[in-house]
Amino acid sequence: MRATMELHDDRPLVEECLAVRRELVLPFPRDEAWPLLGEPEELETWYAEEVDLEIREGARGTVRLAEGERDALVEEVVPGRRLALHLTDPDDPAAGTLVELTLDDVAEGTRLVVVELPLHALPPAPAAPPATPQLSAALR
Amino acid sequence: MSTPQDAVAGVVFAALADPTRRAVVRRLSQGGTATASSLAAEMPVTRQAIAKHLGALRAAGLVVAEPAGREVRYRLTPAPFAEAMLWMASTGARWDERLARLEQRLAQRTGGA
Repeated sequence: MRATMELHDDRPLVEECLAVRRELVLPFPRDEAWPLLGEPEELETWYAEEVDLEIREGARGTVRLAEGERDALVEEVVPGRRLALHLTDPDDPAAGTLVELTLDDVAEGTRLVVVELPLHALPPAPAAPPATPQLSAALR
Repeated sequence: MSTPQDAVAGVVFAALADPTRRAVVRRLSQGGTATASSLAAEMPVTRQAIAKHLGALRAAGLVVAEPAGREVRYRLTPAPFAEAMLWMASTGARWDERLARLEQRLAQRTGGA
């Protein structure tokens, strides 16, 4: 549980109230389990219908889920351990969620922990990223 | 596609993003109604701060204010929580489906090995 609380200080309380959390034990070691999170083609076999996203911190792309397409930002990658994605609905950019997939060693193999919580619930980020020059120009 | 339910859930989540407001909601969920003063007496914050948080919870439709003599008593309204619960239930159901798919795929892989 502790491993899923690194991103935001207020996480324990937020998780207690709002997060959706699921676990699955995979019957093989963590290094064999990692491609299921770390490779887009593998993510397409169970998580999403289509993953047009490089699994690299800061990468942006799209993920097509059963419920619709989402803009995706790779917030954190710890190879072999953890992937955090920030997903937003292009039709409603305010309705975003944070999806964290974490692998832990357990006696039976590897425990996959998934946590999804609405971004409204998180404390504001320390500083908003500046708009790109192209975007700023387009807005002028 | 986002739905009106998503919008309501968003307002609820924003209102609950603050730990003091969550404490107020937790307290009201246990004990019926309370005044700003009685809540302030139970928590390490001023009455003014509590009044401000109650205002935010009212704006989100999570509590209603009811005059009672010279006091105003606050009470939880469950409807917006139902929307938040709906988000959690539908998101949870989608994860159950995904993990079932993953389990099935791993079973096939193990079976084929």
